[in-house]
Amino acid sequence: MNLRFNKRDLSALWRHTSGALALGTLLWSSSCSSLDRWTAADKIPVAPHIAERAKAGQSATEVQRQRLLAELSQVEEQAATQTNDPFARAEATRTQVAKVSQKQQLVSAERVAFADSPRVDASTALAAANDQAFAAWNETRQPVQDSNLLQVSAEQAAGGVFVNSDEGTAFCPPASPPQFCPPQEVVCPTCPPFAWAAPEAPDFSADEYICDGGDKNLPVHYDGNVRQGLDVEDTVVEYMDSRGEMHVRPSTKACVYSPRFGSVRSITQPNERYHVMRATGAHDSQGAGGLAHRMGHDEQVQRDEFKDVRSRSRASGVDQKTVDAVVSRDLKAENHAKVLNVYESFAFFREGVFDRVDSAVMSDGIGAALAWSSGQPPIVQGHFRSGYAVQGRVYAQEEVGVESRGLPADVQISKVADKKTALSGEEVTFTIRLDNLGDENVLDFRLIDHLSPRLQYVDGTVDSNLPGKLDVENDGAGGQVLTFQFTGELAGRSGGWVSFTCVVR
Amino acid sequence: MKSVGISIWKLWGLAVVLAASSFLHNSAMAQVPGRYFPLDHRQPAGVAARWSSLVQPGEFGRPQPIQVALEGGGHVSFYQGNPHNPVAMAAPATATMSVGHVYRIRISDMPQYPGVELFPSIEVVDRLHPPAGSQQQFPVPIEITTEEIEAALHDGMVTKVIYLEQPDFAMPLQSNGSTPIENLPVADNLMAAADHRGRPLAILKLGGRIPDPNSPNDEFYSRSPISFVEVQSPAGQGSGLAE
Repeated sequence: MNLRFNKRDLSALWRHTSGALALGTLLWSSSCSSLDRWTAADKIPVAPHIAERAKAGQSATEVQRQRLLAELSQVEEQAATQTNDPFARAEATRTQVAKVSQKQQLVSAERVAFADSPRVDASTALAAANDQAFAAWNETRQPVQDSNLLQVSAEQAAGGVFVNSDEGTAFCPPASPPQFCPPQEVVCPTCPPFAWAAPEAPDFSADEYICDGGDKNLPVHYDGNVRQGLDVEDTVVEYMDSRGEMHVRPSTKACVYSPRFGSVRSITQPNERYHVMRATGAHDSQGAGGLAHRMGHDEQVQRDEFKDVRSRSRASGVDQKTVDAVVSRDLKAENHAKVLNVYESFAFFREGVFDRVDSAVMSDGIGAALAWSSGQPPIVQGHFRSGYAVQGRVYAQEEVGVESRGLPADVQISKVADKKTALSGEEVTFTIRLDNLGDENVLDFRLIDHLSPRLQYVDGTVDSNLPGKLDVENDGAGGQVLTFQFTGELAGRSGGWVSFTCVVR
Repeated sequence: MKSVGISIWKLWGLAVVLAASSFLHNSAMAQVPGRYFPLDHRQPAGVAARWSSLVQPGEFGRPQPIQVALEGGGHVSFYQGNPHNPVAMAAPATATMSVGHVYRIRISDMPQYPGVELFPSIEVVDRLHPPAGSQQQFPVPIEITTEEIEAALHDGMVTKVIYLEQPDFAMPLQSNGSTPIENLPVADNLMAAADHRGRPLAILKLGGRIPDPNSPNDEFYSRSPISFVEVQSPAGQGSGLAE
């Protein structure tokens, strides 16, 4: 092998080797500097117990890993020994794994400068526990009976079971629809242990209840001697206090769940031609040639707001704008707007009364009226108010009466029903409680109940500890109005009750 | 190419105009004074329930017991997605259905119509809100009368909308235990009529269509979720399973 180099080759070799040497020097220096940084990082203080074990020969990473694995195995052993129930075991495992995960997070906060720390993946363990629970649940499912007979029980066909719990007997459906699963308080073997349950919202709909009581819509009031505003379902008490004033108070509302249904039906035969009937309906033809549309064309609108000439003053000159061919009607001449001066008294114009001290103003007014009416004598009406005063003396010994320092009569009534739910045909007993919260007696009082159309009073069922009588009258629409007319007075700080029974229609 | 593009836009505009005119025409047909009802009972089964679920997303899938009663007695079979394993019960039969779903049932063993089987559909539009623990005591009643069965056997299509009566508009009459039925002309919108009288809950459609026994089509049967709870009827009429 004969190597021959000329000067040109040596020059090229030097350029390459020098570049390589420079690159190597740069890499070496940078690696040294990075080592310096790692060395400096090792000097960051670590947790005392990790540092202590590290001094004993164990790295902190190994200490953490061993501790976590030991805790996890301990948890699994405890779960396995505590119960043989796969669901309980899975649940216990999940709980403990969650605790271990929490501890792991605390430990990870202590981990310093050990980037290669092996971690026990808590999420993986949790997923494995979930899979284990689902597998156990699938093993317990009842297979659906393969039968074409109609006489297959619902329980068998559905693959569900009935479970007795503290809340009663609950039905556990097959796997697929979790919305049919009972609450999680009921241990349901056919429901997945993680059955999703929708958050319960307030489950109420007013149109499913029969309500009686209160004062709906327009409040009960009196137009003269005629009572107004007693709507359906209203229950009020009328009473007179010791001063002779009448009062009306509504009761509370008692509602019973009792939905009633109806149906609308149409039967379509194969030869129905309702589409053609609709296409030639009268509504369409009226809409095309409506009367209102023609009236719009015939309308004549006289716009009085336009003025004949409008002028503006601008910096560039005077700009005038004249509206041509506009009928202008001055309505101002027909309306007299009088500007009252500040020295004028409004009393005469408002009340037709003026004082003698305002005679000068009166004269001015008459003069102005004469000038405005072009000589026609105006008619001025008024009367003089003299300046005398009424004097009287009140003597204490002449006052006759009884001073009452107590609270005035205040009757409150509340109404309740003995059932929460009722079907059509069932009876519901309502009880109305009256209480006079004031100190004075109630002289005359009666209770009025406009029953719901779904309620019918059962004759002879009224009962009360207050003397009185009951009047039942028809409201004209098929409903009933019960009036309990009490006799006697209702003393202050006392009360009573009335009960009656209705049948749900 | 430019002329082609303009023509496409013109076609689009024409399509929009036609769609708008068709919508206005349909809306005018379905309109009653004061309110607008885009749905009627002539829509395909499931449309009203789907619209109801869109309006009330939280109600979709909520269980609602449905009680199917036959005027002359018989059996009611509930399907679960295929013609196999129907659950047969003596009428009146109660099953817990879900809001927003359509169900196929079979009525058979009717003493007045021996050998006759009909397959009505039930569309659950809305549900009730009874107090906790009393859901099964208040099912939505769906009664199939003899007149309706006769109409179905004579190629008629019976459509019935069951609604919850508005208490303020309730008729002050004693209920005889059955749901009152009001016959309306076929041109009327039953959904609008039911909404005017209360709250529509379910739609029953009964016709003479039966599945082909030689080639059963699973699409004919509903795959909607259903469950059954044995309920003791207060009237003692029974809702138990068929023996």
